[in-house]
Amino acid sequence: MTAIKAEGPEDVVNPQPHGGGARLPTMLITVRVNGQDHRAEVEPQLRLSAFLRERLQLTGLKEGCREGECGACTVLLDGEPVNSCLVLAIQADGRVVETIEGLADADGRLSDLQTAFVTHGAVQCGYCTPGMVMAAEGLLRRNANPTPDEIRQALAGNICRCTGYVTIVKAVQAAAEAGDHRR
Amino acid sequence: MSLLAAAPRDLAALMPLVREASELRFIAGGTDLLAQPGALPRAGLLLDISGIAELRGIALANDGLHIGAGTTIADIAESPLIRRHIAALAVAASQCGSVQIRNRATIGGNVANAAAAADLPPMLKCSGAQFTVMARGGQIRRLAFDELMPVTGGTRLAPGDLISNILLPTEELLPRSGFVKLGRRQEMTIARLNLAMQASYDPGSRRFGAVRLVAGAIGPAPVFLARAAAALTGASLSARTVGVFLDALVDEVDRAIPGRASRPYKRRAIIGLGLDLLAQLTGCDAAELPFEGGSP
Repeated sequence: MTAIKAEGPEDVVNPQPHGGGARLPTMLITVRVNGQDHRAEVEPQLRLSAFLRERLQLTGLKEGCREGECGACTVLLDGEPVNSCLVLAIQADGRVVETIEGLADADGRLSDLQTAFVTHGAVQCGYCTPGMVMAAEGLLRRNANPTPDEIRQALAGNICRCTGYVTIVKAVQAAAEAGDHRR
Repeated sequence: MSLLAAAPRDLAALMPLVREASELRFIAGGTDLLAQPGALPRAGLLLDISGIAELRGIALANDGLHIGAGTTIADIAESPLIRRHIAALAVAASQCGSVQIRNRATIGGNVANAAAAADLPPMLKCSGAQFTVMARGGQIRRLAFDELMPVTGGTRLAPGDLISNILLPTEELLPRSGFVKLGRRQEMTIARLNLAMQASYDPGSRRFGAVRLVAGAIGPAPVFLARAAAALTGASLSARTVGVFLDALVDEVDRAIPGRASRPYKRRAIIGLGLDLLAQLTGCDAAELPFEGGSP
């Protein structure tokens, strides 16, 4: 793996020795990500968002704010939506993570929810979309028939600068009507 | 020196690590710690306590409701026990942050962070909460709310202290409770003002019994609004009572933040919040509450 230049302690992504310095202490973690087990030595400061994006090349989730305000980094942790920028990779040890890349089936066919986002115009620039879809997926697994208010409440932690949210709510409603989100 | 980490799975494994570390920092949900740039230490020991099951859970015992400090705010919002015995704590929890935040943030972290605008501490103060604190040397103390969170702000936690449990004593719980919050947005918002109330109230006679009222985001720590609570105690839900109550709320704002630029705004805002709180606690529609006067 090509070493990636670290911007700061929180962005350390490569356990290889840094130029002239000692190896940082690490912890061995085992995380199931999108159905596959991954073992890795990670530094204590490494955020789950950086681990997923830089180590596992799962760049669907985005880092928009790094403080849990925008929701662009939302993934499911043991089935529950979380801001991956506010979870350390070491805290995902022994747990199950699902990212946007894991929603399509093995043949690459988009899920009902992903399809609904596309067909209802709920995607414009696309930056918020992975996090928005994962937050919606988390909702639909708990509540298969949410009201519009329940959808808006569930997505209150996800910011979109493009759509005005109306098409997003409609897409989630359509997906609720179309699909079975039980896992 | 560099940062080391450990993730013990039980308290028996945790305490030796706490005793032996010269510098240590706990992390549970991480939603406050990781949101602050540079807050993670660069050396010492980072102790991840999120995996310690003994710190989680909600249970009703003879002495009251026990809430493990590692219990997530989402679990508190959804807990049937909390909803039955102190429903407004579930309301307050449901208004903390977003779904993503609530799924990670813990009640212990919310208390230890001691933000002036935090949503759970006002309801905890109103409920006479007591905190079990495990010290680095192994001593266990039970602290009353004001012993842990003084009115001057912050906490009295020493380095290495860990809140393990929050008790809401049975004798402090009144039959009804209410929580209202005013922020810049409807969701995902920091409180500019919040109110937490416990009361006895008979809907048949429309008469209050005992009343306790606490305000948050009005100073460095939650404060009892004794005068406003006294305006309701033993009184019937009449226009005069509501007016006296609202006047008392405005007076409390004047006393709490006399020189603050936000005072004119909060003098008006607390009237609306007070009406919403009465509506929530009594089950009336806010628009149908008897209301005369009340200072602008």
